[in-house]
Parts: sequence; structure tokens; C-alpha cells
Amino acid sequence: MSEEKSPNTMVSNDTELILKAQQGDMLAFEQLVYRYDRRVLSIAATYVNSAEDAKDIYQEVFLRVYRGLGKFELRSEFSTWLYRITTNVCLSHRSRRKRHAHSSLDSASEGEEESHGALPFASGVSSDQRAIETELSGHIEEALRTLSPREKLVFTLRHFEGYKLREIAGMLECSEGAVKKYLFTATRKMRKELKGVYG
Amino acid sequence: MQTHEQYKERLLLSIHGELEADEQKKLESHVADCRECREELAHLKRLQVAVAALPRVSVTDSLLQEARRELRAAIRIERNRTSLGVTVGRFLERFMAPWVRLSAGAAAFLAVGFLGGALMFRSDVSNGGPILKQLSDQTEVLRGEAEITNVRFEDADPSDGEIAFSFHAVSPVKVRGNPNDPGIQSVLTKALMYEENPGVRLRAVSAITSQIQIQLRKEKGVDNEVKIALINAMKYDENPGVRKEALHALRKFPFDDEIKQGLLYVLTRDRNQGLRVEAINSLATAKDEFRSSDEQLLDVLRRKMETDNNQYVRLQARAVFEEVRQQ
Repeated sequence: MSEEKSPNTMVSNDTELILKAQQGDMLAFEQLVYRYDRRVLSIAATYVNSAEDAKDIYQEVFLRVYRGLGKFELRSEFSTWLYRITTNVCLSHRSRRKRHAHSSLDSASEGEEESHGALPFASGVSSDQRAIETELSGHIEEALRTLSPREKLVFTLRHFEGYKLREIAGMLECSEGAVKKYLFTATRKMRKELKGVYG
Repeated sequence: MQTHEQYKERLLLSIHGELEADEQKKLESHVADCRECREELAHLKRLQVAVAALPRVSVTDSLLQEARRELRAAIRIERNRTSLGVTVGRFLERFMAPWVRLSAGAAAFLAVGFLGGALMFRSDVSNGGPILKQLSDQTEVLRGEAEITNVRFEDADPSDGEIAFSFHAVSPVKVRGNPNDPGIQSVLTKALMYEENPGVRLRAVSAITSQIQIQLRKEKGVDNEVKIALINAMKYDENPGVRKEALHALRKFPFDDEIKQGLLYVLTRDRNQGLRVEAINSLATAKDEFRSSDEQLLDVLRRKMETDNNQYVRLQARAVFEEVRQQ
């Protein structure tokens, strides 16, 4: 997955931006944020499946980065530090707004705006088929709620974001073996919860 | 010899593509002869398909834009919050016994960062010329007139008669100077980005605009950071007035691809019709800069002339579209 680069970051690497940001250069801080923030938001959105909660997580992650950047010593990759913060914030997140998981923020916006709610089901399917899929989705969401935060995070990062287990281990600061264990446990629980529901 | 439990674990890793080639081969050979594992594999695949079909919130550009705007506002609040510290005098009175206060006065390490002050004005010194007159100095800290934040004890044990700590002292800096000065530009740019009060952000854009005019008249280059800050304000500032002023200010810059991308962003994403009108007008003014091979531009214009709910935007988009295509 490639990072999003803002227009004039071609000449600046992370280290330059970090050093500038540490001197109080907010433009450099913004550029640093914009390099990685789409992926942070994506991890959060996948984990909580709610646009509002994803934005909460996003904001908390980058506020922690803002507060902690002064002490960041460039011994590790900025991205490693950032994704560790992201997973920590996800793990400690509790939905504050308790909105419906699939709510779209754009409901009151103009019709031309694209929705960033849950992806719609493919067009061309019958209403019966859609109802079945909706029901199945509800069951899977329920099953996901039975997982511990770590199990859910590993499961969603692997299934929806496509991260390798090694990468997830780096984010969670644990061994790959531990990540495998979370994935096995999560899969076992999901199968138990969804017994007779799919396939 | 592996047990069925071990094979089952490997099956899960296999469907996630996490097995080495030789392990995968061994597993496939086992599965070919084992009905239980074949059933297990089919079950895992069905789960994978069902989960993959689960609708998830997608990160659209508009969601990202909202998140960025909210983050910006949160950082503004954070910056203001951290500047609301207590003064040195109050700090010392509240937290230290008198005998400690005396020794602390001698031993304290003062990490003084004048926000918007000393750090930003370094470039002025190198440029020469007494353009800036900084009227504050560090004695304000010791007089107790500075706001203190981020106090960190390096030695909090008073038993030896001394303690050591550092803190950030934020003191108002009065500045009088030429808007052409790099230090002033830097302050204005930061005010545009992080000042909480939208009125101040608007005045910052206005001052930047006048300075751009002066610079261009003197055929000096315009600072790229200022341009980037204006583009970001045009795209992300939560106040439509500031977005509009930033857009106007950018008209004074020589048109380039970064400005074009910013305008296309506004045209595509901004919910404020007035802003979209301004964006399409800016693009119309710059139409001679475009080429008929610019597919990205043509694609946006095509969509806007068909779908924008503002009639003027639709008509202007069509006009620009047709002119660009004929170039």
C-alpha cells in the first residue's frame, strides 16, 4: 500500500518533516500527517465500522502524535510508532456516540456528495437477496462483538485491511505467534457464533 | 507427524496466504487424502467469503477531509489549552514551600519557547535589516508575567535544598514590521493554519494577500509554504469565509498544478455552492493554461456540468470543458 503524499513532500522525507515539526513548524507537521492519515483512518474505520467513531480514533491518534512528537527520537520508523499508537487507540476505544454502525455522515449533505457510509450491496440483486445479506451482515457484526479487542483488531486488520500477520505483530508490539493465536481464537469464536448462519 | 489440530491451524494460515511454499505443498498433499481437513478447509473458505462480503465504512475523500478539518480544530484547541498555564509566580506560590522557592529560582532550567516569537524570527536576523522589533524578553518569565506550561521535573527531591525543572514559558510578543518580512510571513501563515478565531484567520489571509501583491510587483518569488498553507486553508478550513478568502488570495499566485489540484478539490468536494462557484471561476480564468489532454480536469468538468446542483457551476463547467477540449 502506498502512502499518500502531499504536493511538496517529494523533497522532504519523514525525518526532515519530523525535525521541522519538532521545531514548531506546523506545516511540516501537517505534511507528515497527510502522508499517513488515510491509512490510519482506514484502520480505524475497519475496526469500528462507523464513520464517526473512526474520526474520533483518527483525531485521538494524531493528537497523541502532536503531543508526543517532541520526544520522538527517530530511533524507529515514524510509521511504526504511528501505527502502534493507532492500534493502541483502537484497542482502548469505546464508542462514545453509540450511533448505528452503518450511519452515513452525508445524509444531510447535497446529493452529489459521495457517501462514506458502508458500501452498498451490489446493484441488481433482488430485495429478498438483499434482505438475506443484511441479516447475514447483522449476524457477523454480532459475532465480531464477541471477540476481545485484540482478537477483533487482528481479525479485521487481516480480513479487511489485508495486513500480513508479521505486520500486525509489529503494530501490536507482540510476537507473530501471539498474533496467530489471536487469529485462531477469533476464527474459532466467529465460527461458533455463526454456526448454521452461513454456507 | 502433525495432529489434526495442527493441520487445522495450518489450514487457516493457508487461506490467508501465510504458509511457506513447502509447507503449503505438504498441507495440500495431506488435504487431498483427508476428508476431515477438506471439510474444514471448505468451512474456513465459506467464513472468509461471508466476512469479506460484510459492508464496512469506506474511507472516502470527503470522510478524510472531515477528519482533517476536525483534527485541525482539535489542534487549535490543544494549542490554546496548553498556553493557558499558570504564571511563574502563581506556579511557585502554589506548588512550592518558600524555602524551596528560593533555591528553585537559582537551580531552575528555563526552557523558554516564545510561541510566535523567537523561533520564528530567526530568519529575520540572517536577512539583516532591523525589520522586526521584538519588544518582549525573557525577564518577563522571571517577573512572573509569562504563562507556564509543560513543567517537567528533572530533580523533584527537595531534601538537598535544590530542585530542578524545565518548562515552556509563553509570553506575548509584540511585533511591528513589514509584511514582506519572512518572519512576519511565517507568523501569518501559522495564524492562518492554527489560530482558533476565524476572524484572525481571515485577517491573516488578508495580510498575506497584500504581501503577495507587493512581492509580485517587485518580481520576487512567493514563498511556497505560504502557497501551501493557503491551498490547505482553501481545502480544509472549517470556516467557509476563510476558505473563500484563501481561494481569492491564490488568484494572485502564478497558476500552477498545485493550485489547479486545490481548485479541483474544492469544485468536487466543497458543499458550499459559493465556494464551488469561485473555484470554477478561477479555473475559467486559467483555462488557457490547460491542455485538451488533461483527462483529470476534463473528467471533473464533465461530472460537474452534469451533476452539480448549482446551475451556474454546471454552465461554467460546460463552457470551460468545451474550450479546453478545443485547445
